Amino acid sequence: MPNLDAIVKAYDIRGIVPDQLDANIARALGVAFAQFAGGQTIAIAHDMRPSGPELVDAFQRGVLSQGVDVVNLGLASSDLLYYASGKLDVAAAMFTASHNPAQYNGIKLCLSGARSIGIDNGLREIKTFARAALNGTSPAPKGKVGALSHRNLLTEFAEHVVGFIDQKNLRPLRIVADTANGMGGLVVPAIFEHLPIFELEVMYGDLDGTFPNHPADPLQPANQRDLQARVVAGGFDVGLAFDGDADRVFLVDELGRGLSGSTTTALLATAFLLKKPGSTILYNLICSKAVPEVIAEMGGIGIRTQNGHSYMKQVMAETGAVFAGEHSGHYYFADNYRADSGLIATMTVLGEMCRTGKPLSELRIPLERYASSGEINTTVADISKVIERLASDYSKYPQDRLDGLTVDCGSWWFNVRPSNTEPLLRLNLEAATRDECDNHVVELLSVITSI
Amino acid sequence: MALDAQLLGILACPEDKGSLYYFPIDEFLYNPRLGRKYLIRDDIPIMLLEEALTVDDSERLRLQERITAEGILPTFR
Repeated sequence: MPNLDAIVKAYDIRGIVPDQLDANIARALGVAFAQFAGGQTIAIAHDMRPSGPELVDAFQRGVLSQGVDVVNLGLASSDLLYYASGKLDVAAAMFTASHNPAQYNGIKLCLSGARSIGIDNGLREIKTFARAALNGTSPAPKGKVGALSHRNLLTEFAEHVVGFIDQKNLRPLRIVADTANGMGGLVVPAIFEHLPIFELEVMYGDLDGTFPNHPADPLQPANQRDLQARVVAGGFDVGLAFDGDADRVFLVDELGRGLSGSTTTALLATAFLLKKPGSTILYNLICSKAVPEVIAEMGGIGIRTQNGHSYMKQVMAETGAVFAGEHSGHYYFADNYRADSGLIATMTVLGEMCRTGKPLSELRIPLERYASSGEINTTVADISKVIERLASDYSKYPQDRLDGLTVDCGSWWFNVRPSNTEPLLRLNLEAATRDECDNHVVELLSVITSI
Repeated sequence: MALDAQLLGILACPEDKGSLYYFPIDEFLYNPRLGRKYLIRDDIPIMLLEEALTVDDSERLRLQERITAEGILPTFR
């Protein structure tokens, strides 16, 4: 009996193919998703991983067997699939494992309107349905099998994305994009075809799920090195680093220096508050303090949210926020069905560069006010013991438990939270200066590692 | 006191428009996506949002297990 617990995670399904995730399991998941989603149609797409087509085929057969129709979108980035889910108003499944090594694949599931499905709102149910399908105890559907159709939404998606930049106000920027052999290689050129005033160079643009150049995880500084060098060598105005399924993007300024997710969030917030004054903007609690400061200065309403896309989207829906940003490079847009999109973030940044006529190295200055530690992970035997010890050591400071423990020490702050997949404690810290930041990190790590 | 088969073939959740699972003996229709029950009174399904009951996590799981164990099919397809 295949082990579904091993592959059904907090936010998606992921595993090594075929040991953990094979065609039979994919078929059962297709049956399960059709039963859970409860609609007439499901859209399916996949990224460039070699195992994609076979898994999609099996999943599709599972869906069709339940009398549910399938719209197969073929090769797509995750944001293209979310767009389809919103535009066509259908539940959808994206076969991707983002930046995980080549032997992995996985599925991101959403209901119509790109409403994400995590372990607390559907993945558990889907697991149960899938188990029954694997056991052969799934009830036989009463109607006829579903109909399969193929659709290519790339052009429509490109037009949708380009709608986020003011085309009357463009300047001839020179842009280099590192798509890391991921899906960006397909979608980035398609978008920029509509913006001929921009010069675009693509690095590692061949779709290759073996990631022959570097891992498709731009959050790691090592993976931005090639891009940073190229930006400087080629005299580009901006560099863009996309991850494997192209839903995240990291920016590099014309001096070859990367921008953190917090700085990008602050920049995007600025752009949205200029367009829609007084709007609500969400930021995850790991973001720099500069983010809520910038939002307030620009007259917006900033709301601090738990990490993770399901919380961001939920709070976006509840508050009517126009934009939400995470330090990890996920940027969500109300006008994109609240789904995240690296491309739409790109459009917004380029729009700001065009509107102001200023280089990115200058635009970032007022947004970078503090020194951040970056995320430091430590293997810890008893995570809650460590968190409680820190809470008590720093009990004289204001604290909250929105996500792990956050302590506000005035001129500096820190957050510790558990990883939901490994026995790791994640530390994020920010202080007024680099030295203070480093000192406090040492201070905290000595406590963390002593327990 | 079962619901008419034709009616069952078209019943959808008034909120998310997706299909529901019919529990004839317990007399409700269940939406696994939202964890919501629509009661059936005197053979009439009450498809009103304000009358719907939201179930807690442990009941969600219980109902889910029952759907698969009893082989309950979703409405409309």
